[in-house]
Amino acid sequence: MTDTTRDTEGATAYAHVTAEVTRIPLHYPRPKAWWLCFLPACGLLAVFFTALGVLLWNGVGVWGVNIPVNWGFDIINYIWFLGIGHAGTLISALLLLLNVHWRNSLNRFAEAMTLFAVVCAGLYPLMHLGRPWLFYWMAPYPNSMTLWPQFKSPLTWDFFAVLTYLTVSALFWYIGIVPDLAATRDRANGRLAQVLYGLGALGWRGSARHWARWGQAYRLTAAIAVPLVVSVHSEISLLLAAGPVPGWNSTVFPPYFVLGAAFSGFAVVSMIAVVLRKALGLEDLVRPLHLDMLGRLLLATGLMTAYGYAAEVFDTLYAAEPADLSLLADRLTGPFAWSYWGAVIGNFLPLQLLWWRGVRRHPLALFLIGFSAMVGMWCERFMLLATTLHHSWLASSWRPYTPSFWEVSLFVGMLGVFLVPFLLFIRFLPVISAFEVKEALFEESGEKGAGHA
Amino acid sequence: MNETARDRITQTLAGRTGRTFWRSLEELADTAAFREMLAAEFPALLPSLAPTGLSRRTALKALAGTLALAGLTGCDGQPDETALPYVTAPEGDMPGIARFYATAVRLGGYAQPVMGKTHSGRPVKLEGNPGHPATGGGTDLYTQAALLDLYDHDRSQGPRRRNQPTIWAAVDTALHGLTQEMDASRGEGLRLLTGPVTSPTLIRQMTNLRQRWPNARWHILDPLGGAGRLEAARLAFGRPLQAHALLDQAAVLVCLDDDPLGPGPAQATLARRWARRRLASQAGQGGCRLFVAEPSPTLTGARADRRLVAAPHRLPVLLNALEGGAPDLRPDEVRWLAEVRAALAAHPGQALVTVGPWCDPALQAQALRLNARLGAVDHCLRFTAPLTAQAEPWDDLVRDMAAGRVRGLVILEANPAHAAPDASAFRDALARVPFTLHAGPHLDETAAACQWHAPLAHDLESWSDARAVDGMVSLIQPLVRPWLGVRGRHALLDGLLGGAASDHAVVQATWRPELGADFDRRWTDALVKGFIPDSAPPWATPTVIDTAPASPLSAAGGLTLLVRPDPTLWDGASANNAWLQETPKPLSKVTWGNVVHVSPHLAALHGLKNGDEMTVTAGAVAVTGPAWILPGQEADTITLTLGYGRRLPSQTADGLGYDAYPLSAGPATLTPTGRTRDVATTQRHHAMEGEDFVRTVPVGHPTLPPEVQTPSFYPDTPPESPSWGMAIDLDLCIGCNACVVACVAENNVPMVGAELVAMGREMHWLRVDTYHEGDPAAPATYFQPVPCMHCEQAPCEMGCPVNAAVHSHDGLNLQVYNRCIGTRTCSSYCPYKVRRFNWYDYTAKAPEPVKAQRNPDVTVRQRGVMEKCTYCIQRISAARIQAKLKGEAIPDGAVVPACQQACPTQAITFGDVTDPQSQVSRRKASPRNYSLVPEAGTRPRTTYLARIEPDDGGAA
Repeated sequence: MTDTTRDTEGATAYAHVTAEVTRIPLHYPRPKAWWLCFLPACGLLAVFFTALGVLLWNGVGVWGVNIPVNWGFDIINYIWFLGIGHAGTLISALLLLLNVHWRNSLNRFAEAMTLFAVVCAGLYPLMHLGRPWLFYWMAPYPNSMTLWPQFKSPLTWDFFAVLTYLTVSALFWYIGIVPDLAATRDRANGRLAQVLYGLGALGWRGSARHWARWGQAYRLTAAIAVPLVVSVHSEISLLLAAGPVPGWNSTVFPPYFVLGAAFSGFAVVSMIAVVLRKALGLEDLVRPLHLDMLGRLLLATGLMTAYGYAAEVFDTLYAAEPADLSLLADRLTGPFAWSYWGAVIGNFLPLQLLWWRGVRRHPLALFLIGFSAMVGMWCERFMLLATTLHHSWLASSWRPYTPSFWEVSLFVGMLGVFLVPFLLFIRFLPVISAFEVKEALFEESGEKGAGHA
Repeated sequence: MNETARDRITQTLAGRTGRTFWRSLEELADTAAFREMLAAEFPALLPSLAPTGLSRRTALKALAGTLALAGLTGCDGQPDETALPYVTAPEGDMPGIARFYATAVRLGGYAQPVMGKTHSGRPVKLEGNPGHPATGGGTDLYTQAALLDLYDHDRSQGPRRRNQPTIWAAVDTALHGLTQEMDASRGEGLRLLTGPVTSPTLIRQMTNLRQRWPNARWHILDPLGGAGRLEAARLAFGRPLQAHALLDQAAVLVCLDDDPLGPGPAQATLARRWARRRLASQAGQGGCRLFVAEPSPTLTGARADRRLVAAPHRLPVLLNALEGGAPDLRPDEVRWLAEVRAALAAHPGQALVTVGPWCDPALQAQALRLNARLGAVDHCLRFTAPLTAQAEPWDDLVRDMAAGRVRGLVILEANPAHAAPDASAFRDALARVPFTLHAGPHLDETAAACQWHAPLAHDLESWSDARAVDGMVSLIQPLVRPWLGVRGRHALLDGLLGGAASDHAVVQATWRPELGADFDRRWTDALVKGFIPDSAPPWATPTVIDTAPASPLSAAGGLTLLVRPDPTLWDGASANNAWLQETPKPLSKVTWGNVVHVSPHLAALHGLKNGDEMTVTAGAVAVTGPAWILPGQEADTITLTLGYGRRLPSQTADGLGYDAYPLSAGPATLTPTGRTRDVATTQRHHAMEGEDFVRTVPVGHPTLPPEVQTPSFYPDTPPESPSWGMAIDLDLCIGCNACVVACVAENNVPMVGAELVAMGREMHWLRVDTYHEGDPAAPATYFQPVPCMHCEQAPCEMGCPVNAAVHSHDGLNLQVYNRCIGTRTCSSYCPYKVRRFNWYDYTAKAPEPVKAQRNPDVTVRQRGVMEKCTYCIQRISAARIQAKLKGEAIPDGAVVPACQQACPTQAITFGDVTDPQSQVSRRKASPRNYSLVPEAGTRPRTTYLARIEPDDGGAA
């Protein structure tokens, strides 16, 4: 094979990648299917706004929460959504810094997923406040009363952490998408599309100087983002672990939460990857190799999460505090035992299939395993909140908890808050990082060429 | 206009000749309704007043008079006494400074002496009267809740006729007609029905009435009352006498199905006496043994050293055995009796045996004779003449009504259409009485059934008097002028007698001869004190007469039904009172309804769960209610409570629970309906699950191991003086709930209703936890009041992101409502779950009159903020201001939180923990002192003193 042919082939391949990615926003391949997803998602969004209206008008009383279970679906879903939001940053930033190329087919939509999941997560703590219109009191802003937030409270740090994470995730995602926006702009035919994509592309012309500055900014943001992944979920775990509450007050919580978060995030990324490559015909870009990699990540983080479960039980048994033992017994056999066993089964049983390469590369199998883990992790969040709160120190204050209609509606509606922007994203923006895939292709071919020569 | 009226007009016009003038169609029709209207509006035009008809001259005179007096219609009714408007404030009165007036509220006819706290003329809180010899300042939950009855938005607002609003003039006219009719017949056919009465003024008025109308009859309806007690005394001593149990002098108390520490008019007094005995025994001065044999658990049973679960038919057997008989006994009875006999023998003259008022009077009489033999009579059991008025029995009234012998019935503060065993018979017979008038504060079932209803004033807005359970007369003086169209009961009765005196004048007329020459000074003195000194009847010395002993009860197979007053509603008269409704029943913790109490044995037998709907049938009557498994209930007895099942359309209490009045104690059957009901309960787990929330110490060695302080990351705050703390002596707590309601009244705690209580959203800042230990068939029962612990290392303060939970320099854990944004982290971290959250806007949505009750010294809370016990910080501030004005330190005892004030047994002590001489420090120095959940490392400022038990454990 001559250099020319190789170059030609390479050029064709690059052109193919760009075309494949940028054609999606410009000539969406399956508009009917998209509308079939988008309209129900809008319906969910309407449910969200209804449930939100009812909540704000009446107060948190419309939920099923009580004393002692004063946190219900609000904090459960907050932790769950934020956990999901971890995978994007991990895949993009960490693997970018580690120079792992296969990430390039996955990072863009994983980042978008992160962004929207963090938005959903961030809404919950605001909505769960008794007086949500005063949420800004958690921020250290200058005020005439010279009052500061209470810096010992994990909630204060939660507020900072989530806000920082949201900002950095948004920045990282946007910086990453700029070159592809430019490519879309260049291929757009309509004037409106050209202007809009052009605005988004910030005047990107692809000059070497642009690429250099871009590379610096991108890697710098990645470097900032990676520790945030760890800090955000550690911080959230402290929201539970900092109190003298049997079942929460454990040092294993920060790593346990971070790993659980990554696990649930990878589960959702796997599901989205399987759906997108099928729906948008991206089989060339999201190849079985990528599914394989996702499967391995899922397996690895899943096993680490399982270790967290084991460590927690071991801790309890080893310390043998009566209150902790009583809580453990309640988790395993009490009224919410379904959530404990749901978490154990949903998270770890189907996961074992991923030891086989065939299963990992099988899209449907991967999707189902991811789904099971997603449900399992939700059960875990429920279990952590509900069992611990309903079974507190004094037996006299043990009370059951039943989520109310509006509590569930808000959760269902929140799926709309996630899906609507996500569907808009895959409809109007480049879902896969075309230039990064090309870069990877180039480097791959360069290595091959060097070996050949 | 209806058909009949039109027919009548046609008839009238048809029958007339010549010109006929008429002013309105109503007049033309000349219906009965029109005549009544005319009579009510212009009583002077009644034929009775102008028997010869109205002459032209009289009519013109009346017209001129009417014109001259027309301007006066703008005037309101005059108050009894001089009242000063706040435009010119009374001298020395400062807005914001509360004033206290000694007065009383009544329960079961007996006075509960109180100090009424008013802010700018508004009663906001009732405190026990500390100067009263009977209660010493303690109260019960009914007294604390009586205030809300004043502000009840379902209170009767004005007189009614046939359930339609009318005016007082109409009532007066009707009463006037009755007076004239009775004057003619010397009272033939007139019946008066009242509830239990101790008021000397009312008794005097009744005596006057019976003198004027010798044929009139006075009946008393007292379904829960002491008629059985008096009858027992009559059987034992030949005359009805009121027994006074001086529990402070009884080293041994044996109760056979009796509940002296339980709810009722005497609770505050008896609990005070018992606590005095208990405190003395703690200090090593004599014993304080309590033995109880009962079929259904009571507060007294919960505090017993030995509690024997005994079926009702075993009680005569046990009493017989105590008297020295040798009946057949079960092993547990033998053990119990052996201990009781030993204790009785060890304390001659200091032992008292009591039998419940609901038991057969012959059995009670037998116990009185036993007490005489034990030497208790004239020592720890004394007698006076009956305190309640004696009148004719209620049963005769219903019989006479049914027979048509009653011409007029005036019901004063009684509700026979509900609160009577034969209420339905009464309702049926009522139709045969030509004139019926109900006077009472509520539009209750009787008000709806009678022709006339006259609303009566609440005790806090009227002049009256009543005796406390020790016989001392309390003067009832108004704290506020009535704002509804109500009248005092004495004025109403005086109106019936043709007079027009005010309540004030009637009450003074009673006491003017009694208090003698120095009346004004002694009257004022009594008003200041709240009672008339030396007004109790003298002790009587009874002699035992021989009568037949109680006939033994046969052990009927099947189930036995017991009907008892409700522990929070009593007889149900205050059923609209949300404070009482939302107070958890001491043992079941049920609110807003009554349940069918069954034993664990029965529940296991039929596979019952709490809330399973059951039908209880006794005789021909059946009621349906949710089952509730009560540990310690005798296996084959069912207990129902009274006061519920009200039929009060659109009022608070309407439709709550079942009505147990028609059922009589005795054999019964139980059938599950297959449905399940949601019961609003505040505590679902009564087992301590192997923990030691309530600790006990043996009487021989009342010491707990010293507490090891857990290490903490946070630095200790240097203690400043004063630094507040609380000690709760579980050895004195009887679980009566007085503190709970006092806290609600003092701190503007909102009531949320059954649905929200069932969800777990009750707002009580102070709760009383109840735990059972041991065999469910005969458990030991413990009470533990749980306010905020005011932890020195408070997790809530660490958790709050906005500094809304903070620590004050004087050791209080504060909640800053203004700053709270409602994250609820504080409650998640609280090991004691004492924090309460405003899930909805309870404050603004409360009924309008209730808002007037609120304590202006306590902030009301907005939707979405957390609240909790503050140690009554407003009282601390008030004491601090007083001390600063005097330039001295706050003296010990100057700060009394509402819970401590209300406690009839002085179980709660509060004060400065940095002062080693303060009462609270001395209690905390007790070797029985311990913290709740010390392993949480919170270092609570509220600590408990362990309960003292007999050397070998609690339950028998």
